[in-house]
Amino acid sequence: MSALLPPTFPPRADPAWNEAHERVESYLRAHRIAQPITLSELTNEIIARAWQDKSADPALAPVTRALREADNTITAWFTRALEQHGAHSRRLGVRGRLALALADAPGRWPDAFLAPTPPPRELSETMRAAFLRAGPAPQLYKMPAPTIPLGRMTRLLGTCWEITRRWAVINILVRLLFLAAFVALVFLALQ
Amino acid sequence: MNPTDAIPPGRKLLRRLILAATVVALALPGILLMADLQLRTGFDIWKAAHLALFSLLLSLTAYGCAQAILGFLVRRGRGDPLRLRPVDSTEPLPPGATAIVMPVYNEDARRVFSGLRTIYESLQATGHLDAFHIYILSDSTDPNRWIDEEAAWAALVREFDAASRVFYRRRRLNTNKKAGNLADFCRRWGGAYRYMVVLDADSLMSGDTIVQLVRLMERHPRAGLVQTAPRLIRGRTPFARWQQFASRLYGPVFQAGINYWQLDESNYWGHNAIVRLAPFLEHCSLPELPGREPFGGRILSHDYVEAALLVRAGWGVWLAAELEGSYEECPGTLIDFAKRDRRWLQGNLQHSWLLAAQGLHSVSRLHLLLGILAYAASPLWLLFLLLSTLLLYRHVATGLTLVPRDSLFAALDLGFRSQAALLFAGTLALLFLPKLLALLDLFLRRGAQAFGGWRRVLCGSLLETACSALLAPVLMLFHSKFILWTLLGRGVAWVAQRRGGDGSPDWREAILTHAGHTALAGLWGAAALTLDPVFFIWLLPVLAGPLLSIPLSLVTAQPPEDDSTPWPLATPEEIAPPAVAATLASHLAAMESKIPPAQFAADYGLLQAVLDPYVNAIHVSLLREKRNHSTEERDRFTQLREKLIGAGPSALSTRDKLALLMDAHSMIRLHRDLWSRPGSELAEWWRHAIRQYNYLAPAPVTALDR
Repeated sequence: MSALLPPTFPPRADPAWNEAHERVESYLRAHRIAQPITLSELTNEIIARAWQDKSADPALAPVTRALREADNTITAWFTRALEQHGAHSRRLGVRGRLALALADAPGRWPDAFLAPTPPPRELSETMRAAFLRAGPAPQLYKMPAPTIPLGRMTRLLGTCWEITRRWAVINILVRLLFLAAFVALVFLALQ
Repeated sequence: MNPTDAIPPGRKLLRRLILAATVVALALPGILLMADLQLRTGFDIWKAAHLALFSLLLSLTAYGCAQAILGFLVRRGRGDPLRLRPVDSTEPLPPGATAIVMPVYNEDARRVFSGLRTIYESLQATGHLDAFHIYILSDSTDPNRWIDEEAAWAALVREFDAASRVFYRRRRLNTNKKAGNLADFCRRWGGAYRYMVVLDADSLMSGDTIVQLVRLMERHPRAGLVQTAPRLIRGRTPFARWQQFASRLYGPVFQAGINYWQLDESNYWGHNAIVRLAPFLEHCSLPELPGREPFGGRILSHDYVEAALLVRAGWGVWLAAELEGSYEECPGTLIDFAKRDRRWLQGNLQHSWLLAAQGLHSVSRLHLLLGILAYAASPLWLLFLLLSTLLLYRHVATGLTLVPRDSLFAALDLGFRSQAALLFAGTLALLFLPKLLALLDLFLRRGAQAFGGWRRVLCGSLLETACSALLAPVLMLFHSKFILWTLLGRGVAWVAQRRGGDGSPDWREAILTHAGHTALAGLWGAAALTLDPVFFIWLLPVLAGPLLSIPLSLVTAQPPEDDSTPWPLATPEEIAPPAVAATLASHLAAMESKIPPAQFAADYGLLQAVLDPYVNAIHVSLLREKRNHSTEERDRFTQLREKLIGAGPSALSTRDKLALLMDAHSMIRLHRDLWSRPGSELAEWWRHAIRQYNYLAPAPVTALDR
């Protein structure tokens, strides 16, 4: 193991933990953490914690352990930023990511996300106020049924049309009739 | 005079009588000349049919020409005193009383939301933003479009802090298409608003124009709907620019003519219009037509019918022809234009059921009839030409020399050929007089400079006329086929489009689509040449377009390499773009680099919704979480998720992808599982997709990142 890394860090040559490191880094980058130093520090911290976690099932792949740790870290930060202690972690994750996106946290507070210091008040407030909705509360309105009397002739034509479409035999007969009329017309025209 | 106060019925009647008299005055001489020509060479049933078709087609041409004449006259002096004029007011608008709705269906989200962003900014600049709520009403079924729409909406809301002003609603089932989409909005939220401004996905309106529409409705309480006359913009291909030049140059004269006789019984074109919601909700529920689609069933072209229902209920429907700042786009290619016509044609043909409906105003019936004839004229024209060929054949087959009798119009002292030439010249005059009047109108209004000067106007006009002459017969053949197929209850199959990366047209599509046109024109031309070379020359202008349809279709679909010189066919909006068009162009240009990586393009929506933490959160937060899935459902979703993770998106059908995208639980699980599983358990596609978030890769591209 390299002397530069703390003793609590996984073996440097372990491909599974290297994959975990790369995945965590990509996951954090997907959250638009752009500064290399922040990204690197956060990734290393998460990997170290995942490696040290004695409660984790040893059969779990390092990627899975590391991403769980990343998820826990992110959820803990959301709990603080949104002040939603005790909220269901799965929904909190979605709520937190939505709030981060709508608050434009990566753009406006690039250093705040996952920082050890408490989230800035303005960021917290903006995140808590961030929401999306498909529309205001519906005021359901029942449009009156249409009343356009189509007329007796139109109704009759409609019935004939429907019968022609529905009954294959009649449909074929009508088509044959039209075809015969067309052929007769052409025959007469060419006389 | 206040136009929406009751216009004396006598005045309306007088205007309509003037229109009718003009049509008769223009068409009757031609019809009589043709009847005389037929009578001079012996009349029979075939000639009677020929004359009937000619009379109908000439009357339609005369109707168009009459509107241009009336429009030209009306535009002299101070214009029509009864037209709807802009309201000069600085009074505040009723807050939150107007909903701007934009139904979208699998359109390019970048264009849709750039347009909305432009409209929003323009409204903001008017200082009346508080008066409006904006709704994007999505019926999109393409997962990529759907996800792009959600992310682009979130970006818009974020940028303008507009969560309480800009809303996005997607229907799980798009029952009754666009009409159903709007009806759904009306049922949910229609009761909360006084007015509704309806936009299309490619609409663009300035804030001032929208404010003006609301003011018009406030000023004229009997107006149920005010339609603007949108100008075509942003055409790049020769085809689109031909359309926009023609509509820009000739449109104002025609619109003034339409307005002259329609007044408050005008029509609705489905978008770029404002609707008074109370009467709309009360009277405009659409009836079900007898039979099923394509000819019956639910009404597809809802706009004409809604206008007719409003007029029936005593509400005014107006065309605000002079209101500027309303724009739309048109299809860029002949084939795309035909595809759009296919939909519109089917919708208009459905209106046949309503022609005899009780209680409709006669002007509304005329709108419906003219809408049908706009397409039905094509097979009638085709039939007329075929009948002309048949009459010649019948004559040639006799082997006799034509000896015409004396004309009934002996005073004219015309020989048989001179009379035929006069008839031809008269028909051409009816076709070209509107264009000449539009040019004269431009001259009298000193408007040529806006088009770049007279040289450009005249060259453009000649080119436009040539394009019209060549492409009109091709459209005739398209429409004739569509009508036949609709009557047979069949859909029209289109070749799947494979455009080049630069938007260049698809050769294969053009060849397969137009091969029939070319073959028909070739055979017809050969037959005409065999019968009589003179007849062939007469027929040649009609056959030239279909004969050359493949190269024409390709050439007119080719976007230019350099957009900087809008010449020829330049419109004022190209030479001096209006503020909203310029803003839209800059928004779109800013997003040009935001193109998804080619290898993921086919499933980029799914990729973002699953992998991107923010897009995933936006998407999941808009889904309704179903808590009580049955065991079968849970198993099915588990199988689909595992298949997606292990085999990649190509292993799933679009339906399966949509099912997953609509299930909140699956979307959360997929996000977690894809990120936390070792690469060995993921499909190669996902391994590559995750790599694009790697620190060394360029920044991720989503509609959220503008």
